[in-house]
Amino acid sequence: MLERVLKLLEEGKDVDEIAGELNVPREEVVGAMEVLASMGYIERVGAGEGACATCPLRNFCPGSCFRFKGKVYTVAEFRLEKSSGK
Amino acid sequence: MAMKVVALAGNPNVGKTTIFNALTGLRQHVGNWPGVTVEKKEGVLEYNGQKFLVVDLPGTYSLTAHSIDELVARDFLLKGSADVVVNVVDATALMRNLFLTMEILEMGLNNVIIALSKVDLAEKHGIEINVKRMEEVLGVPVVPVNGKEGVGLEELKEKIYEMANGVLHERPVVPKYDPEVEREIEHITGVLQGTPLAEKYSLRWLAIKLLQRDDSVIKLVLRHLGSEKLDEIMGHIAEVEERYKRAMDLIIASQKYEFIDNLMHRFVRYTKEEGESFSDQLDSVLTHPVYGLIALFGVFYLVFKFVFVFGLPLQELLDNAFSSFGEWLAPHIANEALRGLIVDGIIAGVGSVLSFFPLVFLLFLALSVLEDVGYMARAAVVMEKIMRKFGLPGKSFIPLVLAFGCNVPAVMATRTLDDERDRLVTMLVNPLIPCSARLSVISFLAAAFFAGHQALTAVSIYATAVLMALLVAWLLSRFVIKGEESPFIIELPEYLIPSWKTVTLHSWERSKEFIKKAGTIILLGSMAIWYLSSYPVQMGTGGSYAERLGMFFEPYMRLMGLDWKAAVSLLFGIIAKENVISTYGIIYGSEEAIVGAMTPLQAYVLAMVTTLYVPCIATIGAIRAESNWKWAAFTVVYMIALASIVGIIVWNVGSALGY
Repeated sequence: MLERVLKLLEEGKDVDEIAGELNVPREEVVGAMEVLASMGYIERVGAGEGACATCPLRNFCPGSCFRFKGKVYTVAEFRLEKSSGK
Repeated sequence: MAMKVVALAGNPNVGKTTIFNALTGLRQHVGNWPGVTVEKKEGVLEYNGQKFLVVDLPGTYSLTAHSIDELVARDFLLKGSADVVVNVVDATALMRNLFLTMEILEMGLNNVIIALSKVDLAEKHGIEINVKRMEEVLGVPVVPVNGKEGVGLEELKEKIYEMANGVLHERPVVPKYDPEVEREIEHITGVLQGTPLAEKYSLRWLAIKLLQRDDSVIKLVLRHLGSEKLDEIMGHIAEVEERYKRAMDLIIASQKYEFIDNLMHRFVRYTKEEGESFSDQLDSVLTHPVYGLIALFGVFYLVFKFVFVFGLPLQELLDNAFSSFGEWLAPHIANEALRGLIVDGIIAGVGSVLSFFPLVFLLFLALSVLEDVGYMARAAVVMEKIMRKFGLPGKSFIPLVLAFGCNVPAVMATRTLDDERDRLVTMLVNPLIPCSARLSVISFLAAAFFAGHQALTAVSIYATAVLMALLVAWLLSRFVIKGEESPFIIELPEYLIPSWKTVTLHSWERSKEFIKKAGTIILLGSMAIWYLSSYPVQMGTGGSYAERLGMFFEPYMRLMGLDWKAAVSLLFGIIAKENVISTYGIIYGSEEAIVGAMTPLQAYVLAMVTTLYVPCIATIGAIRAESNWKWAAFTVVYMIALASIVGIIVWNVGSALGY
């Protein structure tokens, strides 16, 4: 299942589509993504906390940064290079 | 006698800390794991007159040693430091949790107890677990636990006590792989047999880790076996990988997942009908490429409507208060220059910006509610789908979302993009996304000139700006900076009722920065604008510095139906966008005078041009710092060109239509 999840993620499918295609609960797809992330096959994209912390305007930034609930992942660069045959 | 050690292991957010607190009460100590900055929590459990040292291991999804947390947890377990390992398993995501369980059992440990958490939630999701059967299948004790309510804690303590004192024995299951992988494990185990490693570690575990090319295990084996033997093993592994055409770590992890899936069939039953929940149905609309976009416009229209309906009366109240304060103060200041500076410069300038505080606060309040409800993540999915179509890399999504708050951290957030071309496209497009500073200008002009249609005006300007950003991204990625698309996955949060305390606090945190800015940059800007409009001669004679400066650009501004005052405002807006309002406030003295001097079409063009022209100086600096002067200059030039084109089109089309 893990490899199939990765393959579907590489194809640009979202969590619900993968859950539907593999006929597993959504939570298990999310779980597989956590495991793939811990193995370095997909990467968690930071939601800007680092950027805000180092921002020169942080002391008087109007509105500062948006809170983004939910996790954002992308497929690791080396996987993309592999699949594009680089 | 030394205390027996109980280690708590598990995935992050499975309720491990709650169980740790329930077991140890207040007898806790927090420190760091030796040599690393990972928090180490220890506490004492007393049961049947015996004391146990409970160690809370860092939460991990696996024990692959890719992170410090994993390494710390793995080393602790591997060294046999724990007499009992309590593996907290979240019943709502069994497969993911049992993946870690299998990694623990694979180490050869036979002192593991599973504390099954969130069983009630799992039942609500239709996941029915036969605990007795689970124990038999996994070969380890399983105790359903609810740390908060204390359910199962006594049983867990009893099992810990029995396991630590050798009363409870287990025969844990270990994952089995494809015959080819098993053959390789057997081969490596054979090579390792007879070495000192056999006394300290499970050889099967070492073999699996070697197959997964685990760096620390490779180093360990190299120390005991030498490079010749290790090279032979690694050569073997490369051959297997060649046959599978995939990396062994992924093959092993995937087969482990399948093994768990097969085990789960024996003790898990899904009782709920596989129908779409209300949340799923809502998601299918809100994240749909077409309906989702319509919903996005609808939601933001309502947000602006809310902001204007409730904010404008307060804004007018504040505006009147500042005007009255200026009128009251003026006769009390004898010195004409000082009076002009304070009343016509500072109060008129800063006051006109500050009067928008209620609107800014209400907007942040509405956005905070949308964030906490979970809608913003859905809106993000819609935007991401559109962005992808326009050639923007998936990763650029976060910096572009941040830009709605402020463009400076958004430009800096492009660091998350590894590809230089992707970074550049995102960085160059970023200033076209209207930041919250531009919101005050848009609100000011919409409120003053479009009574009853303020929300629609604001939404149309935001939509145009986003459309321009997409168009420029498409042009850049197609003709200037070509890149490849990268898949991007957004895991949506559950819909939640927001906590008003959190929402209000967060909105205040954001909007108080608006006041800070008014007291610093806007204050200095207002003083400078007042000086330029009052010296060497008073404005109105055509001889003030501001008029001379504005007149130089007026022929160009006329193409967009604007005059020298707009030119001066826009120039000061480069320092901070709010200066556009304060400049108008100083030049005209009151909102009524501004409304009398401009048509709604001119106001609309000004709002559009302010949104699209040169980024503020801090953003230009950030682009230069993150790329170079060349790209910072390019951004300024293309944005001026774009704003001019849009301004000229809107003015001419609007005029032709009779507005």
